[in-house]
Amino acid sequence: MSDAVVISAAAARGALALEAIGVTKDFRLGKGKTLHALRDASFGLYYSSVVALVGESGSGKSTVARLIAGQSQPTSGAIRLDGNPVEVASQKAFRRYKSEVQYVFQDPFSSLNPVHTVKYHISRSVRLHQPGADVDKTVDALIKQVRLTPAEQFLPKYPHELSGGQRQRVSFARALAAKPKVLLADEPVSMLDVSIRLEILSLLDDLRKNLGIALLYITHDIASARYFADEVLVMFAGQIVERGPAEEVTQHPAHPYTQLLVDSSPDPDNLGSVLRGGARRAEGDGADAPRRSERPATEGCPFSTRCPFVEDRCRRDVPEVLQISATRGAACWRLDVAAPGLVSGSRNGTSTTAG
Amino acid sequence: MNANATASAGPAPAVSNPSTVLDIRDLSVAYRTPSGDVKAVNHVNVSLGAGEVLGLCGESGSGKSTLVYGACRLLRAPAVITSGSVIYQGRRLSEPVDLLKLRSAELQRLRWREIAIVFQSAMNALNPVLRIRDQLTDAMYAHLKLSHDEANEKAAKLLDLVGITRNRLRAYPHELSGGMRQRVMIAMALAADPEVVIMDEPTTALDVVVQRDILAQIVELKEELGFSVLFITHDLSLLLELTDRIAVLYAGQVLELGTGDDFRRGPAHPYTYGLLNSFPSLRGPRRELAGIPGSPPDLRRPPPGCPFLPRCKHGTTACEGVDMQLLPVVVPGDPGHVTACPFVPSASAVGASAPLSATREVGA
Repeated sequence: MSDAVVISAAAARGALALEAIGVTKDFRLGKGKTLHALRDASFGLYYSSVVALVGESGSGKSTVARLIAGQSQPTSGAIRLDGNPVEVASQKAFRRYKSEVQYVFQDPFSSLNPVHTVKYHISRSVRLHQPGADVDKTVDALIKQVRLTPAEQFLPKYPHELSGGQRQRVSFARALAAKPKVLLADEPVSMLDVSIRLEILSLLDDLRKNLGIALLYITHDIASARYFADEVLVMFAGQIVERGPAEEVTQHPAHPYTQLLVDSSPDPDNLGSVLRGGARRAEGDGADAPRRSERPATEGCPFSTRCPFVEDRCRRDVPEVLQISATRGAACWRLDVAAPGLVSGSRNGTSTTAG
Repeated sequence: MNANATASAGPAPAVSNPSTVLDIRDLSVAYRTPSGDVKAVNHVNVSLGAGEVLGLCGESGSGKSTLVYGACRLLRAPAVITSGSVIYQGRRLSEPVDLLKLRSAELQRLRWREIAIVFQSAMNALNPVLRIRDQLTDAMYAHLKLSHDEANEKAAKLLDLVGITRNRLRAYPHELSGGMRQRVMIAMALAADPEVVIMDEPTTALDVVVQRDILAQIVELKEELGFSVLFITHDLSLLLELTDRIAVLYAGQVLELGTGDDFRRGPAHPYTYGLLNSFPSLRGPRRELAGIPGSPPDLRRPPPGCPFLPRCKHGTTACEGVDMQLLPVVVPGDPGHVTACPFVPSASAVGASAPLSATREVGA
């Protein structure tokens, strides 16, 4: 679609690794109903760069990761790795693909097998993906790479003997054993303590830099995306509603949903916050109350049920991605009202307006 | 309202501040294990003022939940309370009572009516095979003497209060979204019009947008009904915005206690400073983030002195002799701002307590 003209902010870091073109995933719910888990998503992952996928639960973030990982098939659209279409039909092909695209799960407490040692977890992956390699040596190098030192102390341990952060490092070592081109990190730090998160994120950052891995960082924490990602894709109800450089999207959100997301994040410096009882809600409860319980709209713009700028057109037509600048776009009919500083002139979806 | 914050680990004074509702003094809780006692909470002093929102902040395993569950006597073996008192002084009670000394029948009368809890992972705290109405009325039958009709009417009113339509009374928990389930839990806690509501990570599993709605609603209800809130979370950034005062817990001890402004102006304990520098900020200039390397100590064999010493950048051998008394932070001159780190002035000299605004900016 028209978002092809938006150049990814991550492209400056490296060559295109993985590309999703117009990927759609529908789930049949029975009784003729269909759930559009993902609608027409197009984006790229680039070597040595981080793309963050931000959105609420149920917005389709994990569906994107599962499709890219080859764990489920898109209803329509294509995913290409290094320009080649993804082939996961046979067991053998799936395994080959898996060694190039690895997945790190959210919960380090359940993604490791409790009856096996750290060494087993990593060496199994080494044996599978690097046949012929010196297993002990490779495992040792991997565990140092994820900064679990001294290695000999950690290798014989069982998952229950490790802290959450250490477990997540083992998950990363296991993923890296496959020498992947693309790493999908699905909420890798949301289960960890605040003091540990930063170390894991900086570890990911090092892997990206040193190994040139293309990273997809899935999170609901838009603040961490600001610090860690090159490009941010904001998802709502299965659609990428806004995309652009991390700093620009978080500092000057264009789409009304991104604005809501940014406004809702805890703000330690907000002294007059409504949460401190200092000021009552300015807009009043009447304006606020219906917003929260509304489900995404099934027709037109999915955000139209909660959007403060909604007009008839939003309820009728699904908005196309409107280009804001070379690297930014947002899918909103009313950008001129929602973000007047960013966009000017025509609100025709197909025209491009330089910001 | 901070007058008792500096109370030492010694015997509790007989009279507490009249505005104090809940006064936890010198509370220690240990888990008895075959390999020794895990000292989960160590001589903690915290007081909650009337109408106040007090935040308890700490990593997992820091003893936040153990502290409040211990104070309400909700822990069972192998947990034992090894020292302390919990003075509750509600407006409806003629005189203060020590929750730890009450007989269980007396305690039962106080629970829910005076002190209610919104439990951790409220997403799963509801019974999946009972309708919302039955779960709401169940709590009422247990703690209030209501007839069937009165309880049903009250349940409907409670749902109104938290912004859920009455027809949801017949719904099962799986038919509600996470945010709505959370609201039901809050409604349940407010059923008996309690003086103190303890909220144990009530919004941790929720999206930021829903989280904000629920927090705003809690604040609104608090203003309307006048209860006090003890808010437990690991998210310090949230507490800075939400609470009147914040207690930072680490390894079962309070390391620092102060208002959000105190923390913003200059955190006094290196651990607090580390926490403030651990979460990326969404607004303002990009700050250089540091995090806190290492992990909390084994509470079976806690290190001597300050428990944070192994992870502290500014630690010296003198820290092994620190007695962890909360001392006023003299530099900003606020009597309510106390810390367990006696080396604050020297720490600030090396930059540990530099205010957030003064931290270095990094390139975008």
